Amino acid sequence: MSEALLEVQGLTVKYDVGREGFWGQHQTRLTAVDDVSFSIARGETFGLVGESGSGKTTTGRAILGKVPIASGRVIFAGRDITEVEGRERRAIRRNMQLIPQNPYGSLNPRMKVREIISEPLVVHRRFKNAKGATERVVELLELTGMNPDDMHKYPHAFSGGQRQRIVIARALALNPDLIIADEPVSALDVSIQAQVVNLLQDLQQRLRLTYIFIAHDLAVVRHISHRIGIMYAGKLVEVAKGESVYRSPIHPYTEALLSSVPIPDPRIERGRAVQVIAGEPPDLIHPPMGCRFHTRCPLAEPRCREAAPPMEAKAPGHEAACWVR
Amino acid sequence: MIRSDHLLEIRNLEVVFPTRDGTVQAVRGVSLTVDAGDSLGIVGESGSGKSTLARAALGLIELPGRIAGGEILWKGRSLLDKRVARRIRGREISMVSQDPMASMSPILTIGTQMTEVMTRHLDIGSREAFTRAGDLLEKVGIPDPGRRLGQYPFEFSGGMQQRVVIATALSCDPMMLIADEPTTALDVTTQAQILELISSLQKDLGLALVLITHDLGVVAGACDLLKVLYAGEIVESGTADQLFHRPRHPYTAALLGSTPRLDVKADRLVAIEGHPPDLRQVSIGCSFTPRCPHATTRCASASPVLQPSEAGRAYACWNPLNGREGPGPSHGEGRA
Repeated sequence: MSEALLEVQGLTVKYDVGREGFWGQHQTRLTAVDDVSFSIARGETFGLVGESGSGKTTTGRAILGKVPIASGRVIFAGRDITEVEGRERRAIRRNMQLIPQNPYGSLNPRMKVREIISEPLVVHRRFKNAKGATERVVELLELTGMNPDDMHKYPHAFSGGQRQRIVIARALALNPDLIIADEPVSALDVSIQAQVVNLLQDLQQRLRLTYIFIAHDLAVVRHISHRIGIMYAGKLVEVAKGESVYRSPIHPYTEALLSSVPIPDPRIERGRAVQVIAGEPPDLIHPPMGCRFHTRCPLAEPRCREAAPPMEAKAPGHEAACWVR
Repeated sequence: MIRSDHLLEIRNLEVVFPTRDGTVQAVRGVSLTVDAGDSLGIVGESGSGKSTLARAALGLIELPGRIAGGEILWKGRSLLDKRVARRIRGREISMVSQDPMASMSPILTIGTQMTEVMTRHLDIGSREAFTRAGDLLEKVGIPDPGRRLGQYPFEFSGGMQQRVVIATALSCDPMMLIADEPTTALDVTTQAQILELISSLQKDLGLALVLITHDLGVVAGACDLLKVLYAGEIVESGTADQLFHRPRHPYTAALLGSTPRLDVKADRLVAIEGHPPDLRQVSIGCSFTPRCPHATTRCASASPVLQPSEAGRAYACWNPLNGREGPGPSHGEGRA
């Protein structure tokens, strides 16, 4: 884990959400991701955590080139891919695959498993058709713990966990380096979720994959990630090794977020003071001045309202954006 | 009237849903009781029958689903009688469900919706109901209730909508609140707010609370008593401490093992292999057999009954775990 496979520098993504003004002369823009930077080493799992609207999914989509980037750079395997398009983009997309959240919506119900898994292979001209790719499909099904005979079935024959295995098999078809998994287990029951999490970990070991694991569930993220980035209202507020985030969080938002997660143990829960933060995340069309969290922060000082704190190293390998801490 | 000393008593409830491909047996012989002031957690995964159980208790099973057997008693009166159920639902028993938008009309103001419940069930006029609605909003932590009453549901965030639903549920001073996954659609920080609200209201008002969830973390803090549901049956019941620290049914233990914990760093989650059974073809034996690490031939041939054991707990298993407290809930060492 030395060279950076992916580097994101000052990534900013804005969405047009309508027009303002009497004649609609002003374009209203929502800043979904604001000046986010991080890097990921080969073979690492980077957990990206945040609540709804924090920008975690948009960050993943921007890296994949699925949303236009307003400013900032995305560097993949040493190459700036921010503005790459067309044929070259397709070549890069081979090395980056997405595992989406909903295994019910991401599989075409009219295609058999063999066609689904071989589709990227055919699109990228590795094979002429699904039949030609059979051997590779069998290999992928075995890799993800499925039965090779399953390739003749349609998605409806499978449970949520099995469908997610098919989605993973498809994502692995082109031997990608980077997998962006966007809430890959949150639609699954806990017992099945554990199967899929274990599978992702095994695959990482075997294939030396690099993961961006996007999730709202901190317990799952802690379990799977080497390093974790916490996002709030479009900003990355803290990045550190998984253990340091959980043992010694620096940003007050991280602290509140960790405190909000219920622990499945009644003795701990009864004796625990949950640090409930009042209020809600801010409006991203008109975000507050200064630190985005100051409206809810128990430690907020006057300077927090005036200027946004920069991301800086607070301890070795532990960065946070906070004036107070 | 049938004699029952409990607030709510469910006896051998069977709920079925006929489908084209066979009849789904969603709830299979569930019995439970709830007394005043109890906080009961019902835990289960998708398809375990937990929501069907809740809907049955409110007389809300809709065709083609039907109650095929058993009895549901509210203070001794049968809730299977639709007229009784209609009078009690929303008044003495109220419900908070997962999706707050689904519990509200998008085209009526919050005030209209809240007062409707009160004028229907209580003997009060709309003006009095309106004042009361304002007080309720304040109680559930919604600032500026006067203005908020005139707004529509879309003007509220998810957490605020759920607070409105809770306020509406409390508007007729119910004796029991059934909360079906009340925080599943919410972010964690909002979940913490809502759980705290439900727990404090339960204590202040002496409500009986039935909290239905798939999340063991959610019931750990909010409930004293627990029932674990698997494939439409209660497989284990007892106090929260008993079930979390000394589970005796292998499914309860497996569920604890597969739940990642924020306070424990485990190298590997203990997954439950396989998947839940198809409830259209109910097995003769224990439904957990194909996934159970302790299963024997007996498990596949005969169904274990929910046996009461020590200190108010019960489990349905032929080969129960020893129930001794391990070093940590099936995760072993590594507690942070």
